[in-house]
Amino acid sequence: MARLNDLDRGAAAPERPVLTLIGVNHRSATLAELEQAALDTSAARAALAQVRRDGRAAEAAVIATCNRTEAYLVATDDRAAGLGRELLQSFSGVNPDAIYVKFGRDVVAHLCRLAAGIDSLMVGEPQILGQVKAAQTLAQEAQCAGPFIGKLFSTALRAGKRARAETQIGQGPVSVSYAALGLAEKIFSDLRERALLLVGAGETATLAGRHFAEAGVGSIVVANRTFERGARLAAELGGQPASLRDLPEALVHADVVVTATSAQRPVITREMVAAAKGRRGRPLVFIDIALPRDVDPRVNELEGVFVHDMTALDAIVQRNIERRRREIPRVEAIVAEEVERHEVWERSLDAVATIRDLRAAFEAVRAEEIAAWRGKLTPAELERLERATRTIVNRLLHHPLSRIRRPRDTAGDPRHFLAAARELFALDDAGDPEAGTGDPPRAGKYRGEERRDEHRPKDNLP
Amino acid sequence: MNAALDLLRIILPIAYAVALMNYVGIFLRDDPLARRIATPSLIVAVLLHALSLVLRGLSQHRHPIANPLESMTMIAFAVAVVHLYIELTHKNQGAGAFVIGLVFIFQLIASAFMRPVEIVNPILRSPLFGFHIGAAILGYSGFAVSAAYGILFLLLYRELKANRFGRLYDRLPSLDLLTHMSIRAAAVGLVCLTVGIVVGIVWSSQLGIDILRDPKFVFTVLLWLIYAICLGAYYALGWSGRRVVYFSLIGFAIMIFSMAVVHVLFRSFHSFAGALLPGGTAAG
Repeated sequence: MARLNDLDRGAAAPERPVLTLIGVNHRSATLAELEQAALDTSAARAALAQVRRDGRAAEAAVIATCNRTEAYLVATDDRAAGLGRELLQSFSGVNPDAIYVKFGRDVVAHLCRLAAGIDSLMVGEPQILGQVKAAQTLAQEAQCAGPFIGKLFSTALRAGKRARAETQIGQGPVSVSYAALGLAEKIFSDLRERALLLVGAGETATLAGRHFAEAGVGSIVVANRTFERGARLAAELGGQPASLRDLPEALVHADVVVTATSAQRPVITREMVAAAKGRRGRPLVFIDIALPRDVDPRVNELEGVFVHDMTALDAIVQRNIERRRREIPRVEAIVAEEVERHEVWERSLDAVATIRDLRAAFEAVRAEEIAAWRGKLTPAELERLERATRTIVNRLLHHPLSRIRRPRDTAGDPRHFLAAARELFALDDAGDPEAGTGDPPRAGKYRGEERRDEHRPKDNLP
Repeated sequence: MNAALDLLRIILPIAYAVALMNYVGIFLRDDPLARRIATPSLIVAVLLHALSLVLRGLSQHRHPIANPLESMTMIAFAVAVVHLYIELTHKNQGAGAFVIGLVFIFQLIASAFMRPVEIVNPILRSPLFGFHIGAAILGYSGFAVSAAYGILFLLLYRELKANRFGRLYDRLPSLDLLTHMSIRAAAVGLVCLTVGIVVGIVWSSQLGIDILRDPKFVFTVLLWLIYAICLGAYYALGWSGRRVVYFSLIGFAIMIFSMAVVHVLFRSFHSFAGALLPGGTAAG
């Protein structure tokens, strides 16, 4: 992974980088630095607009989450590196060593890994997929997205979806509150017919209550020391409030009890639970998320009663994290496949671009020469000249074009072959009519190409 | 036909073994290939089994349950079918290793010791008998399924109580489901057994047999009582799931005993010797 200083040396930058990534994330930077580099949506939009105005990058996208800020640039030459550097210099205070730079294939691999969730703090997290999609949409709205960004992001999103569908990278609860839900579902298959008793109304209790409500639990009772707070939470969750005095009674009707109070001594005692008659042998599950514990451990001795405290929940979470980590090699294989697919696409695209540019370059010379003779020949002679020059150009182009169309016949990287072809025919300086004219930058090489065709007579080249 | 039956007799345990290996693969390793082919492999085994039952019935011109071994293969079939139904409706393959393990063992024993029945006692052709034996077999199958899920319930119960979250926790269906399946299977078994006992009493009185002294009948009534108490206690007295399961496992043990041992230790009506044909003549 090249660091920012490598941009200066240029040694790390290949001759014609198309994709460039510059960014900071939770691994490369400290929290303070991440905060410095953070961008909200409007700041990201502004950054993209700035890139568009600048013109050194043909396409751009920005991913800005709480754990990373990354800029993806597409350019036809390495001037993008300079742009990237300037962009990042606007991240004042960020240690340059915390900034990473990647080119070409590495960028594709990076974004694929990101979308697949294996670059995240929480392996296999689902949010990152949506964040990547949002970044693509933002780039489209800012008119910074073209075929390269489009292909890059669609490849990454496919890698992300495949990773989640084909491996277990996103399976198994990895947060305590989801683990609690999973536990309840291991005992009661259908929570919709079950009653939840929530003891406590603080942050932890609220989170757990929300998960259970989302899962469609049949009924919710919130018991809290301060009745009003419990009532507010009950209202939010669509349940009923209760006071701590009602606990013994509530235990008779509840199936799942989640406790998360700040009490220093157990709120639920063995005697209380043993006295809850009328349960008729139905299982009773206590999920004790509190520290110190709210449920007396001896409650677990009772028949048909299960008590799970934070140790248990942590064990479940750790186990799932481990399992997700073990899936990483499988996800890496998927990423490798998608990167390869992207490579194949990119190679084919270069050939098309080169062919088009080559034709355009030859046609430009031919048209120029014809134009010089326009006043000095009769229409019939001009017509004959047209036909003759066209035939010459076609014959001259025939072998180079057919050679370019088959890049696989070349030994080594086909892109270097194409780069050599571009060098040979000087396609990248003389062939660029908008260089140095001060015209608005082409949004994409291929959109610009359409505009060029509008100004030329229709060519009859095959 | 006999050649086909012999072939099936060997193929069946193999087919169930293949299915069992897949389910064990799911349980031990959560193997993705096993997950895909387990259910289809079980369906194949069940279809082959159905074929063999039909063929045997046709070849011997009677329903295919005339001795303990034939009963075992029939029970294996019924348990496999019930399990398939549960697995498909609840989309959980976790219990398969255990239930199909039971099926495999039953079928293996049946296949190993099965002989074509040389003496066909004429009383076996009676349709009332067919009804009796069919109901009894369904009853036994129900109890077998109940025992399988009951054991799984106990395993999961222990894991949860001990706060162990290993493979059993991951693979088994919910505790709820295990309880319900065990209880429901026992209930179906009890109903069928009731029908079987009643029809059996009616039929045996037609033949003039003193059924009340038959050891198998005694054990069957005992079996009936145990399961009736289990279910009554669960629904009416609110017994905990664990207590019901323990009790029902006692019943299951008695059921196995009555199937296997009775035929070895006692010579009586249920061995079909010395029975009277309709009309009073001895069947030999």
